Amino acid sequence: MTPAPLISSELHVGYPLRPSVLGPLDLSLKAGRLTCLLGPNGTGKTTLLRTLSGVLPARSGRVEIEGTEVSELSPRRRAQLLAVVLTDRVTVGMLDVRTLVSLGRQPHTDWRGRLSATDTRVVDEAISAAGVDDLAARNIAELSDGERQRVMLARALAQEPRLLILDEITAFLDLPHRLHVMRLLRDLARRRGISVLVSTHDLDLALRLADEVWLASSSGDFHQGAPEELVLQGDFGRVFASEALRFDAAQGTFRVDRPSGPRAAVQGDDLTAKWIRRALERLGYQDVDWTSDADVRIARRANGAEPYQIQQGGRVRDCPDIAGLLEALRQLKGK
Amino acid sequence: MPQAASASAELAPSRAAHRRPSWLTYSGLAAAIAAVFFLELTLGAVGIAWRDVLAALTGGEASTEVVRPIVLNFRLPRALNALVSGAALGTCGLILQTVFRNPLADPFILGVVFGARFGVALLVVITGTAGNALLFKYGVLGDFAMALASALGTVLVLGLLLALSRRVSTVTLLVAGLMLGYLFTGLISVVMHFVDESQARAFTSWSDGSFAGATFQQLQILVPLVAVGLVMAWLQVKPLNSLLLGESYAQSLGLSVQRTRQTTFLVLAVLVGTVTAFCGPVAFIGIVTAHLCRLLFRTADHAVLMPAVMLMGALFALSADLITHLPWSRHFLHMNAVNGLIGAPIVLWALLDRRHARSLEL
Repeated sequence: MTPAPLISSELHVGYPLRPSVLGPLDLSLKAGRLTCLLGPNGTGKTTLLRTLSGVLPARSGRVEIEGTEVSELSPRRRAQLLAVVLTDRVTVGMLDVRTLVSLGRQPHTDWRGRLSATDTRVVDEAISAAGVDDLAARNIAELSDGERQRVMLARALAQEPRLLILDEITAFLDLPHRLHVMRLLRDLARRRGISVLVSTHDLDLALRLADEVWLASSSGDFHQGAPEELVLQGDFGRVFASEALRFDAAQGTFRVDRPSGPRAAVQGDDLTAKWIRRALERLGYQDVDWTSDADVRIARRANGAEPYQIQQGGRVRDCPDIAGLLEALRQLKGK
Repeated sequence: MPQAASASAELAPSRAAHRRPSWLTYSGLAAAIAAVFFLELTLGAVGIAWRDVLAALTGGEASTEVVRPIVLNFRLPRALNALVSGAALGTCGLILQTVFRNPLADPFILGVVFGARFGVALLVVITGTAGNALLFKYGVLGDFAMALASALGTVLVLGLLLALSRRVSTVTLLVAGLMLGYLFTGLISVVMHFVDESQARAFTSWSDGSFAGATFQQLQILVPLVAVGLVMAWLQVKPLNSLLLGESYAQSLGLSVQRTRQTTFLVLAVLVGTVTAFCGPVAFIGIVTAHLCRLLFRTADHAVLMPAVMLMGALFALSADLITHLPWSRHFLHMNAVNGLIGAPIVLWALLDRRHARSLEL
């Protein structure tokens, strides 16, 4: 049996001459799994990733990649086992995507860096796998930040690593691309049997796609486990709890905390009512039940050009659309 | 996006990115070098027929006997010097730009050549006061000492720049390099104060870069050292390529950044050190060469660029030297003036060009 791709024991991470940021950590990554590292800003996620990838020495403790202490691996051997995608901006003029991805073969090529037929095939596959075929002939300097991150992913894949570590790969991507990249990472983990560790702020995607979640908190606590477990134990809520945010375990998403403005009741329970309630929350109204005591009521009328009616005390006001309704409510609240 | 990916996957994997063969361009450059080299031998204050030049070179019979010493003793060493030093400086431009991740880096602009000159000035002072003109007394040894002192001065400035480059942005580093240049020029003047007049005059006479001054004996040191430097530079192609991605990525690709930096600094010290020791501070050849080669070959790949900058540097230096010793009726052009006329616009263009600006993070 091959040893685990990555194991850490009693690991403390941090920069020299400063207190350690995280630790002690006993972590392990398994082959074929996607692990997401989550946590608020400033909890040492990047520091941990840099330490695990051997770029930054550990303050104390051990990190083993496939059974060998990471600091004892030769740089070349380490690069054959482990590939990274960092947040560093790569700015090179006159470098096309294909050549950049080919640089990923460096740990496998001779002293001149010449590509064999196998190397060329691996580069082609990496480019396709990362979905950057259409960018292959483009210049790096011309790419958007999101495109560049996908190219850097292709380069990491060209390294054919056993272990792939990515720091906020999805930060510059729009939602469809974020989803695409995260699913790609999960599929890569499954198909190639490699372990993938990615730090992200995308809690929703992480909860849906990760096999395991590592959760770093501002207080220095560190949790690891199946995402569902961490939600049910309330770790998610605790780590991300703040004055303005509340983790809704039932929905698996975060909600802006309930404001304490005037009470508003909305008639009905359909999709329209749901979205009107969200808008009210944004305006600073408290959502209350239709049957309970409310400062403002929003009634719904089935027909007519003015389907929304604001009822306040004895006065009523009809609105043709939601924009009009919200404008009227803003004025009301201002009084 | 996923749709786009699958659509283009049906096309042939884009090998179209493969360039036209570089060796064609290399051959063109080599041919141009041969042509300019030959012009160097024929053109000058005295025009010499190409037949006579060939005769002098091959030991055949020339129409007049004065021709042979002019070609062999003056023009040939000068042309050889330009060829070798140009290749060296072009290579240094490329290496500096990659190591400092700065497309405007150049041994002259960053003040490196002035550090080299300072090393030589110190040597002149020490030997001048200690052993009365050791340089003239000990011949070859003196020339070697000069190259060594020059190389040490190069390393001094490179070290200072390295320390600075961690703290400042691309453009600030240029200003810092410029200031280092002024600082060392000032220091050289101070040092020269302690030297006897004739030596000081000899030293300042080549404070302007020139390929005309080197003696045969100095060429015997320059040519092998530069050859060694160029071979070492060529061995750095793979590490330099990974440095294009920045130090962290380079490290993740299995590069020992520390060792690469030591090796490249050694290469730079050998190349800039020797050339500056015997030719003085030559301006702009590094930066111009590197940019011309990137434009010509449309790549940042050092495997392609390294031979290219050697050829282009040699061609540029030979051409600049040719212009300075064309038979002008009244004026005498300094080589750095010629280099500046060509080099400064290229640096300005690099600063103003939008694509360059993006890679400079301006």
